[in-house]
Amino acid sequence: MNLLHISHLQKTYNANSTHPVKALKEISFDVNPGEYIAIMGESGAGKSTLLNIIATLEKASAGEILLNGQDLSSLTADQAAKYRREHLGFIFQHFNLLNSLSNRDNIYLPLVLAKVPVAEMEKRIQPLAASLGIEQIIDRYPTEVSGGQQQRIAIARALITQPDLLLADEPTGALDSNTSNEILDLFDRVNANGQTIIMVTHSAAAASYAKRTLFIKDGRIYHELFRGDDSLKQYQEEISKTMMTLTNGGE
Amino acid sequence: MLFTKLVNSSFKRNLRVYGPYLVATTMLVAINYIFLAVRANESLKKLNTGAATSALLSLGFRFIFLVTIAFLIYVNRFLWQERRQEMGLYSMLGMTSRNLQWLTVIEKAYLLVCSLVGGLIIGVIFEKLAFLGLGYLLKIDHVSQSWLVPSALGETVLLMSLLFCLIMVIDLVKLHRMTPSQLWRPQTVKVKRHGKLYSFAGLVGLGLLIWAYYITVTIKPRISAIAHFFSAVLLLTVGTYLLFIIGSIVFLQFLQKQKHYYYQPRHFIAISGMRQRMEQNGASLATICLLCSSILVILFTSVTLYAGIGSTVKSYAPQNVVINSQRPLTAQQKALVNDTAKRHHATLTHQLTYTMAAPRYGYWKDDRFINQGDILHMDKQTSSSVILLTTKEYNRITKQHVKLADNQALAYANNKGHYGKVTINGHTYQAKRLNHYSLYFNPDHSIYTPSFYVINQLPKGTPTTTVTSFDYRMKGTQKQRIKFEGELQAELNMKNGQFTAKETISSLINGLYGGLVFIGILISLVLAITTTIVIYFKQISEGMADAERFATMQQVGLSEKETVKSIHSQVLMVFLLPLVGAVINLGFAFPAIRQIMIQLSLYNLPLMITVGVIVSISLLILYLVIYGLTTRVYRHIVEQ
Ligand SMILES: Nc1ncnc2c1ncn2[C@@H]1O[C@H](COP(=O)(O)OP(=O)(O)OP(=O)(O)O)[C@@H](O)[C@H]1O
Ligand SMILES: [Mg+2]
Repeated sequence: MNLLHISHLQKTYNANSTHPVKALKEISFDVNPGEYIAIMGESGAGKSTLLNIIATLEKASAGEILLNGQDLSSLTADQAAKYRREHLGFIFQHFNLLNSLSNRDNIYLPLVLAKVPVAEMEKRIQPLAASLGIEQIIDRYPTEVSGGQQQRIAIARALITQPDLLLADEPTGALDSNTSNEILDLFDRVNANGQTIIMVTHSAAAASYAKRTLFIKDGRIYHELFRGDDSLKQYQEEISKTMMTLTNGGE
Repeated sequence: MLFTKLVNSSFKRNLRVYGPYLVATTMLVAINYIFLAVRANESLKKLNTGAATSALLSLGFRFIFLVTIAFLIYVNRFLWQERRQEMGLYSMLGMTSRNLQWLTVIEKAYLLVCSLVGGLIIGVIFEKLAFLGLGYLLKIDHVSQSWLVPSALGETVLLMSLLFCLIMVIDLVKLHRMTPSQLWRPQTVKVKRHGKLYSFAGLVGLGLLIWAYYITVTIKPRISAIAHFFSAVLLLTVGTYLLFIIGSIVFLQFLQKQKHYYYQPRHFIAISGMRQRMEQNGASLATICLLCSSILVILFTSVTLYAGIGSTVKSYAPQNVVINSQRPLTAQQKALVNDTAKRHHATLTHQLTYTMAAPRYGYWKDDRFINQGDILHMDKQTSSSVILLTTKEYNRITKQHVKLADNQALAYANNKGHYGKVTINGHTYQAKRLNHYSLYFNPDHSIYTPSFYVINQLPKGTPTTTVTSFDYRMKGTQKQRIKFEGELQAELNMKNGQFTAKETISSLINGLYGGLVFIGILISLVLAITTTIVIYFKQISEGMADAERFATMQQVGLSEKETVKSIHSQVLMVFLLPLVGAVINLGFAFPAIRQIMIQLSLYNLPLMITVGVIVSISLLILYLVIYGLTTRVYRHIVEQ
């Protein structure tokens, strides 16, 4: 069975106003467990909107969206919040850590909300911290560590709930290329362990890490690329080319 | 002109900040003007309490002016934060630092002119009203005030201009010190780490508070009471700051270490949120707490004093005229009294003459009264006074037929008395408590309230005093009565200690306490305005900080409802904390104030409690209203 099933998804902002914005017009695709998908497209194409709908942060105007057979559009706001913290992990461009919490407590946050016992939280954080290389900084505060380190903390926060689906909106957008590569390598390892990932990105280099890339233009899926057996470099060139044709007005 | 346009548009954009700021400065200008104008009034100076009232007004004005300075400097910091990014943007877009300085100067000039114009208009209108109110409180009707007081106008303009120059210079210095990128970059708040010394300072704060409370609770009605009270205030101020700034953090850190308690959804969010809030707001909250405490104490003290004037006057002068003399009045003196009364068309009634032992001062050691002598022999140890009265005289003046054995006594005291076995002047009596003694009074008007002991025989060699008192009826104004009483005293050639007349003393006390209430109310008003604005700006800055937190918490899986609830309960807690602190402070100040009141011959405990409760509840209501109103602004920011 598919992990995520999306068909004919639409999203219109300010539908009742004189200037409705059709951010998503027609989106359909499926995601299987263990997949690693990149979503690319120009600025304003609707990538973040799509991701936010999958993350239950926003509601679709029309269409169907099923995660593990659960219809996301039928959830009330409170149910959505609960669903989010139990089944989804989210990573942002600007990390969105709470400065008032220590790194450790930031990572614990979703577990605390889910009322997981302290012993269980401590058991989970140890291997995670080791694999993300954040053991040294875990008891500092977000303002006391670098951007790349903050993103690692954010990744730990997303992964500690063992989510069905990891969503990332331009996770490397605020990082330099070296740090970006480290983070992307991390994603690769996490995915190798069976974690399903959907990542929005502007960079062909970042997208080339994923196994499949969806291109969105004007609220529609415009093209789809599979990495297959290509080398990282070949695949990256292919993605760049597709982006070029996309920005130049399409075929 | 470009600059004025820029300043204008920035005013419009930041109306949320400038609006309340201008309202506050306008009110402060108005109140400063009112004080200066009332102080400059000539007819007030001519009253017999004029000197005292003037001194009080000067003192009050100084206090209000200090509050105004502190307020302007404090709130200027918020304005600066709002303007900082804007300035940074301008400077990145190519404005020179000279241009930015100009902008600052124009901004301050604008603010000054607006507050002066608004404030003086309001001030002139309300000054007349305030003056009438003062006249009412002083219970006088023969003072007048013109509509405009030019000298006060001039002074207000001068002082306010100086103040705005001061904050302008502060801003210019800040501007000078910062580079464009510093201006532009938003400040990030760091959670600070604190060492052992920090916890120690928190404990010191707690210790100081306890010490202050200990002083207030144990204050004795001695000359030193007021000095003790002020040292308690000092300790309390330092203690409150330490406790709010440091104690709260130490406590929250402690809670964070209790893993099973901390890692529960409600506690987790509340404790970490509170910790950040306290790091940022500790000092402001302590300030709000102290402001509220001052409002409570000042209002409470002045209102009780004023409400208690009747009982004070009664203890000084149980009848219209009371004369203490070593010997009974001579026939010649009596004739003088009658002649003067006739001249003023006054009819004398209820004449009464009796002899009692002269008041003795000293202190109690268990049940033994240590006699130090008359009022001139008081010292630091002195804490009470005793008046002895023979059974014979007591029976005669109260028209009773009490019989006592030689080792028995009747005792009456207005304050805490000594009953049961007591030893006075080497004699031991079994003293029975009297619930009522209609002729009770405080002949020396001393701060040590006398206890009366009725015994069969005064010990040999006890100095006595003869009390001659009477009421009088006379048609005429308060002024004429005071004139009659004054003439009577002059004819008898008696000193103030010997001769007490009710009308004179009551107008004197009204003049003093009325002035105090007037100043107390105005000062409370100033403090209330400043407190409101401080709270308002706190809400705005909290709102800005919370907007981000709000978003992140929802992304991680907190529902909107839970988020709203948790944040609002934190905000409410942060804002209630100072008020709770203030009420606790008043509670502990109560015994001390009571002792000071007793020195001023006010013994009415139920009255004091009523006033205290009413004042506290009013402040609570006012505070919650302010909280409610400012919370709307807060929500607006957070839910954007
Ligand atoms: N809350 C909103 N209200 C109205 N319109 C919106 C809202 N959010 C997004 N839009 C519009 O929807 C469209 C898609 O926005 P979206 O944020 O999904 O773009 P994006 O692909 O993520 O762009 P970028 O790469 O710049 O982040 C844009 O035209 C945007 O202006
Ligand atoms: Mg986006």
